Amino acid sequence: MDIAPLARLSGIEKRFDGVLALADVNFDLRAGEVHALLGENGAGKSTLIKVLTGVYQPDAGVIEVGGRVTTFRNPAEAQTAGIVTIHQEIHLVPTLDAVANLHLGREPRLPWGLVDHRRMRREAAGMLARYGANVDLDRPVGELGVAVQQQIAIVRALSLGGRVLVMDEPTSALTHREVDHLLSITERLRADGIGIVYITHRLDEVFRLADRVTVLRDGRLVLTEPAAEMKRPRLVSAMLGRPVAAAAPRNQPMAGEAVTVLAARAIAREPRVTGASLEMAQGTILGLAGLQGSGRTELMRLLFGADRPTSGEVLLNGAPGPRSPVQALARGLAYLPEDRKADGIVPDLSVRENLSLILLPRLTRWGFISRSRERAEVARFMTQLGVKAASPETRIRDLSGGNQQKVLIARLLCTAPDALLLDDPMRGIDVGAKADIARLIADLAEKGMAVLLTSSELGEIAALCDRVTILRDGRTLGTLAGSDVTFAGLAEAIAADDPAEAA
Amino acid sequence: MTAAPASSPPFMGRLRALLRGREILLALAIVILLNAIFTSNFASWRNVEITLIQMVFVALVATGITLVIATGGIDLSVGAVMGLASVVAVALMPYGIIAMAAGCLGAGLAVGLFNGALIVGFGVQPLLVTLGSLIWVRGLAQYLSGGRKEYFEDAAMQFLGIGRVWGLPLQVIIAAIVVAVVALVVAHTVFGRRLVMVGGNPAAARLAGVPAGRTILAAYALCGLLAGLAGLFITARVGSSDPTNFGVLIELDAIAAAVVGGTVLAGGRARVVGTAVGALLLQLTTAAMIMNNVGFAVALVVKAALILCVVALQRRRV
Amino acid sequence: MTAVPAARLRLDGRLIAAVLALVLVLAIGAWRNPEFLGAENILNVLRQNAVLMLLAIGMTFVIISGGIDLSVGSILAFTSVVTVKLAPQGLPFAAGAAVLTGLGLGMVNGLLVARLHIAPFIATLVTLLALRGLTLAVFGEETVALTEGRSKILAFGRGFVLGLPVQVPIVVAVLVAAWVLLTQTRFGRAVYAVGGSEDSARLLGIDVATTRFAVYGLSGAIAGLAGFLFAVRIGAGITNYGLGLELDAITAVALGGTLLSGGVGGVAGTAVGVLIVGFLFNLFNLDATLDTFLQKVVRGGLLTVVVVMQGTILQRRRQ
Repeated sequence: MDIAPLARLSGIEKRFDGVLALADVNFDLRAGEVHALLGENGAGKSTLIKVLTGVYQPDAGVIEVGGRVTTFRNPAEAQTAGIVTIHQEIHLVPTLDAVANLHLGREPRLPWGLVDHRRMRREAAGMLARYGANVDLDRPVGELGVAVQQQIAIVRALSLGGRVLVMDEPTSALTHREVDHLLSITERLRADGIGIVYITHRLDEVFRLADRVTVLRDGRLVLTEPAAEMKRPRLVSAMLGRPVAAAAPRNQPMAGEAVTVLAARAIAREPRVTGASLEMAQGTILGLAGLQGSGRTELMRLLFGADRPTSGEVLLNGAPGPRSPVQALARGLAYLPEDRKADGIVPDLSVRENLSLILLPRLTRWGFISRSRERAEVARFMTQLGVKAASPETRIRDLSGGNQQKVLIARLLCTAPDALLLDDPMRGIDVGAKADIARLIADLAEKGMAVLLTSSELGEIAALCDRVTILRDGRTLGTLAGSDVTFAGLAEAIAADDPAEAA
Repeated sequence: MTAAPASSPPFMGRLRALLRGREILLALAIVILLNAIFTSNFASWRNVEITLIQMVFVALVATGITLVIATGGIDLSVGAVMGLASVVAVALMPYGIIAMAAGCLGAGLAVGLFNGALIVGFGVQPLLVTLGSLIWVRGLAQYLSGGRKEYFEDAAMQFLGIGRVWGLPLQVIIAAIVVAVVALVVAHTVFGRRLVMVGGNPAAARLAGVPAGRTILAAYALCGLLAGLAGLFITARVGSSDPTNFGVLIELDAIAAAVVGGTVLAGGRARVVGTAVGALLLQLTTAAMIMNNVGFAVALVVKAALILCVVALQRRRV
Repeated sequence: MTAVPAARLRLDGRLIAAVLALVLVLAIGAWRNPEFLGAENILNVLRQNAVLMLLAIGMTFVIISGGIDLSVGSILAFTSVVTVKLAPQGLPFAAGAAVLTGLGLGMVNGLLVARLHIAPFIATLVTLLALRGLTLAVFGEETVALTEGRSKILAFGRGFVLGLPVQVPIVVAVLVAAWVLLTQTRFGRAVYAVGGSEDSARLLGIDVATTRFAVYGLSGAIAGLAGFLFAVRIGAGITNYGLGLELDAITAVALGGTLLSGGVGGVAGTAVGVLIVGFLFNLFNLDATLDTFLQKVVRGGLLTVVVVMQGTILQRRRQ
């Protein structure tokens, strides 16, 4: 085809505080094409998208829209040029109905500045019907479910003259049937000549829908190829990278039968966890491997008691699982959340206060915290984990990501738990800190702790874990052990078409 | 936060570092200095004493409100609790000072627990719950007393009101002890630590096993308790109950003292000593304006402007 | 083209509940006291609650936008004195001045909330404090009675139009205008959007700051009109109104089905809510079973109950 692409990004470079987030990335989108954009967390997908939609301005490189070089100073300018994002959390006003949301801010008017309700309703119904969106016009969209809200957001974007639609993990919160519906809507958009950038972690959708695939890793372009020529394992390898050389492989054979600490039997909590079973044993590192969005975090929260499963059972040391974080911690089960900022640190408090949070009740005498014991414990764990901070009194928000993570791990370790749930502990931190944390996890297992580990880098899991349970779409597909725990073996298992192959 | 300009001499840099987060002390120093210059008889021991005596009620109430604000909440009912406590105190007069004190503290505690239970149990906005309490507690105080002030003469109450120990006003001593104890509790107990955790990051606190509901409930209970104590003190000081006028609009002074003292309205920080200093600052400002014949009315406006400035500055920095 | 489904008549559950509550209050009243449903009493209730109705209408806008305005009572107090002072220059002039004064004060709130991003309750609470001081400083006394032309003004304030208290057509006009503004204009849609989700509204292209600013200005202006009506009925301006009327206004708004969390509700419900509050306390007065102090307990308790009820509903919906 010799038509100019709808949008083309060439040689894009973007730095944040000197750190390279995107390096020389090329990306283009044709009319009537679904172009899947893949990569794990921190690969640079969202930065690239934000450059395309005018949220960020690139430090180098060129943006062309319809063959003409342009710059966007803000998202509004990108929108005017027809580039619209459908965000993962949908930005509609939940208390208003679909008609109001579709027209918000540009309602058709009668004389005297009055809003033309009849016309609004007619137009809304027409637009929604054309894209096969089946929407109750009379209910607040907040009551309508994510799938329908998404459809409304898409229709709104198109009615604003959108030619380029960026869909950011649109299926992450949908059920299977809703996914089918969304895919069919997407196909209709493609037939209408809309260009779609499709960000997802679900390979099935990539192969069903995408015309081309682009993979980013560490801010660099790995490949851009027609989807039809792509094989699954190759795609997974491209996304998850090579094994990290720094973390020494351990995979020691287990001596005898290890004692099971935590077990899950077919637990579920729709829509993200649909049936998961696993066993954590003393002195073992169990990996939980799956792409982002496969339900890793949700499963860990169920194990920890932060959420309650709707079916299945969790057993902690043979007794029914914890019903709250308080209980879990009291029974020696600790959890490191994936989202450090939202669920981990209390930003305005000091390193000391953040570190000793869980331990505090054990440091009291007559109700008062023993400062000297607190200081001693904090100092001990800061040294043990190699936390680099000006002093224990530094506000934790002023630390680097890696050091924040070490403090949060120390927060768990100082309570001497029997079992640790670590949700992507090495995400978004520097290489040195990664190696430190990897070594620490290996040490802990050696001392008899049961560890459950997820990571957005398969190499880390392959290097560290004794056994690995495979998770896809909220279901566990089986567990690999021993010599099967290799990067290639895991990539194969995650990518497998048929769940049976992985078992 | 803005970085210090590179050209500033090391001395300024060190001064700045010393004052960071303690801007309030600087403000206090300026107010005292200005007063010493412009207000006659300001720098007298007598005047210091008067200032301290006048700020006792606000200091007590503000200490409680600091705890509530630290959790990200608010309590508007504190003034009404003072009115209720004064009525309870007079009703219990025949049974002696211990019963009166217990009654006042109990009334405050009850209202605090009521507020906290609704806020925790039903997840409703603290502002609206305590706004409702502000009205019904005041109404209850007026109903129980028929809306009348009751004057009394009682030796123990008189001593509690205007008595002196070691040459210092008794109320000032007790208030200082209370502030110190609460400051210690906030800084050195698990409860205090949990308070700021719940306000600073509720999700993280919950995952770290903090019993958020109990912590918040305790904050409102303590706030009510301290308001009850302030009610007892004002009753003793004035020598009568006053269901209608005691504590009217004191919640604003208390919030102002807390905010000026460095506690953030969004929650996550509790500066108990800062609050006391904030109350002192406000008292000095008001007193200075009145002593310089600016007038009570204008003083109110100036105070309002002061609160706004501090809150607006806080917003900008966070 | 598919056929457009006709707009379904939306049965607003909360509004129906409010109407039923009103009917209940009226029924109990009629049973307790034969004069309760008499024309004289009803007209009297309407006249007495005109001020509350106005404040509640302004408050409806503010609450739907996700805010709160605690200063309306003190704006009313201030403008009532303005009215008394300017009444000799003619009633229309005094009314205009009261409304403009209210608008100005409301715009101060709007500035604090929308531009300086100060939490609405703090901003309006501080305005309340400042207004108290300002009223005292400017007028220097607590109650300012009408002297010049008093009888003529009271004849207006206590007079009738077409057999209805003069307040009724004024309040109805404001009510209708508010309904049109809220449901039939872009501004009204924006108010709902801002209260429903500020972030989404911004991303969907709504000017959030301006909308907020306008809402507080409007609330202030309506409170100014309320101050005027208050002064011409009572024959005096009263400066020491604190928290009280704003609480009743919030209660009435919440009773009428407007969610205190913002984004949902309307002035029709508020009108019903005001009538519930008005007739309820009228009944207490007629009945003389509840002294004024106990009425206050009921007032505060009523708000608490409504707030808790709404909280429970919202909590259940979230699950």
